[in-house]
Amino acid sequence: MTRVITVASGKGGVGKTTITANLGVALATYGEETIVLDADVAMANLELILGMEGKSVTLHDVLSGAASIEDAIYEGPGGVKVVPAGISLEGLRKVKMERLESALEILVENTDILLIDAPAGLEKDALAAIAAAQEMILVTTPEVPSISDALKTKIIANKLGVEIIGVVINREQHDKTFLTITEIETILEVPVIAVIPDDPEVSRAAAFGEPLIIKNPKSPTSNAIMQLGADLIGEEYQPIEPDKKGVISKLVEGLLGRR
Amino acid sequence: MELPITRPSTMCYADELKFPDLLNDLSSKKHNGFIRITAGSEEGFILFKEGKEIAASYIRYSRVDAIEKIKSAMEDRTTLIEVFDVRSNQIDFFMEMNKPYIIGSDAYDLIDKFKKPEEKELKPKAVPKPKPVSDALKENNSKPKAEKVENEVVSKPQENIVPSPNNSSNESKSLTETEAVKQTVNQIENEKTVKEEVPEIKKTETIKESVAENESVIEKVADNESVNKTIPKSDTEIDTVEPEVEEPESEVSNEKPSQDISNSPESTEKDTELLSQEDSPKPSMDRSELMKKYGIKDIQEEDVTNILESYKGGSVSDEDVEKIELTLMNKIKKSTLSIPKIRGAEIMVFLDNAERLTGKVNIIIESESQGFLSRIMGDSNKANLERQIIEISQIEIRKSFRKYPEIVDDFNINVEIS
Repeated sequence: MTRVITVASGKGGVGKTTITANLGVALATYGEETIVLDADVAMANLELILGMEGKSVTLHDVLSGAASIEDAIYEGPGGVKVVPAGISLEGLRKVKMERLESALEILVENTDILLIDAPAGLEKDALAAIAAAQEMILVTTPEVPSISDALKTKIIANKLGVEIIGVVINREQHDKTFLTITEIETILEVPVIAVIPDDPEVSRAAAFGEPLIIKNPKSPTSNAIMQLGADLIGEEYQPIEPDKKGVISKLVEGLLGRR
Repeated sequence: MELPITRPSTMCYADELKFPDLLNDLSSKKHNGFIRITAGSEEGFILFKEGKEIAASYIRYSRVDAIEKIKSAMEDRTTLIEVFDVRSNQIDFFMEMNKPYIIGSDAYDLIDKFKKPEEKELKPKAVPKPKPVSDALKENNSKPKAEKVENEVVSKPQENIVPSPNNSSNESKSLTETEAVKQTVNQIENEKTVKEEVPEIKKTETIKESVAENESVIEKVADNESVNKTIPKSDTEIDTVEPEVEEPESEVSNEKPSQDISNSPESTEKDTELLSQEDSPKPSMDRSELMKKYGIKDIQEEDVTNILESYKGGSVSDEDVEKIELTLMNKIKKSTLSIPKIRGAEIMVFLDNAERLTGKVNIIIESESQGFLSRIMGDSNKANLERQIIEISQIEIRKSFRKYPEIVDDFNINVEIS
């Protein structure tokens, strides 16, 4: 049976889309038939992170009734399938979120996991994305506004009967000014399932339009997301240790022709 | 006082900490920062510079009066105490900002009084244990009874120092402390074995002292237990009330008993270290307190319902379509009839909600009989009227869909004038 998991946050800009994109690729690398759907039709940028912008048919077209969902599925990096939302605002006015439900029915037919990148906030489009799923991953940063919004999202999701798998704390900085994992768990009353460190590599990977877990699989963020993916499907994951060799030793090895 | 409220390094309730202990701890740590005391709606601050109280406020009170009030407020167990750290170079700035609250040098004698523990704290509690010791020795000075007492004395720290695999590195501290107790006991035992001719009353005093010392240690443990919040209270109760319990392994399985046993009368510094080390809040912390601390609120049931209502009602259902048709019909008719030359108007609005909301508006107008001049003008007047009616209709559509005025482009308006 297909698992439909929505990745939501409440607050915008907490790294939800980045986590969804990378988690989708991670699940695909474990051999799971995974589709990542960008339900953030107003602020779509999943395709930018995955380097898939400019696709002719998008979720915009599907939700405005101009195309079928099958035409909006594209092969993404690492074997993940992607339904981009379409960055253009042109079709936004015609979008009807009610059509999302019927589109999802088709999507889940031949899929193991459908990941939905929900829009921020609790507007109609965000609620539609949450309500469409059976399970939800809450993404938050360890800051008060982010956690406050995550709490609202969690309450709404509970009301909609969506099971919350856990909280992913993004951009953890080991800074006293932020909330601790225990505090976040206590406030949200949901277990923390992954802690993703603040990592400049994420921005670099996004700039290259490449998922981080492909561009830099040794980074702590990649390891954390791969671990999260493994935990979701009950797989074992052995973290990839970063290369400990220094630049000079690499250079020397290169000069000596050992590489 | 004007002070920057960031994340407190320590947070606890008044029943977990004694005010003099707190002041002494911060003093010994040469603390730079401030404490905030919240008792109901009342709030107080004490600013510290290298452990010295330099400014204080409590509601409208300032300086020493404020400290006195804070001390009184600490008697309420629900008073919340938060310790905030600031950089030493910031203190002068805060002093400058809070000049009215700066404590004069003449007031420090009074403050020192606050720092002294209450007398009842200094006195070892009159627990029944020492009594049998003296009584036993007074009644008959037989050795077996004294041994029994010694065993009782020894048994208390032993319960806590039995090493367990879970014990943390802080265990060493407790070991040194309990070793001291052991040494005292060994000393007494040696005295017995060598059979020195020491007056037995002196021996009793030594034992009394050691018992009293251990009692104070245990009392300290009990006090600090609530601060560290790691040992179940029942354990401590067992330690103090039933010292003869001889199955320590299970009780010492917690990580922190060994830390707590290290609290001898001179080990308050260690207490504060433990307090300050607790950067991360305790796992058992109350959710409502956390929510209050960070100003986070649960959303109310009513708000949830409203949010979900917006989800249900945001789209145009078929029932809505009929209502919109009727509303538009009435609005366009009313506006059209306001044109002077029109006698009557029939408006028909048909909406299509299949893909997106589109519509067709048919307007049939009966105009007044035209005069001679108008007949000469002919079609131009008719075209003007038609254009006027279309414009009025478009305005009404836009007004009906204020959020999406562009929808008017999806409406086809036909006008027939007879």
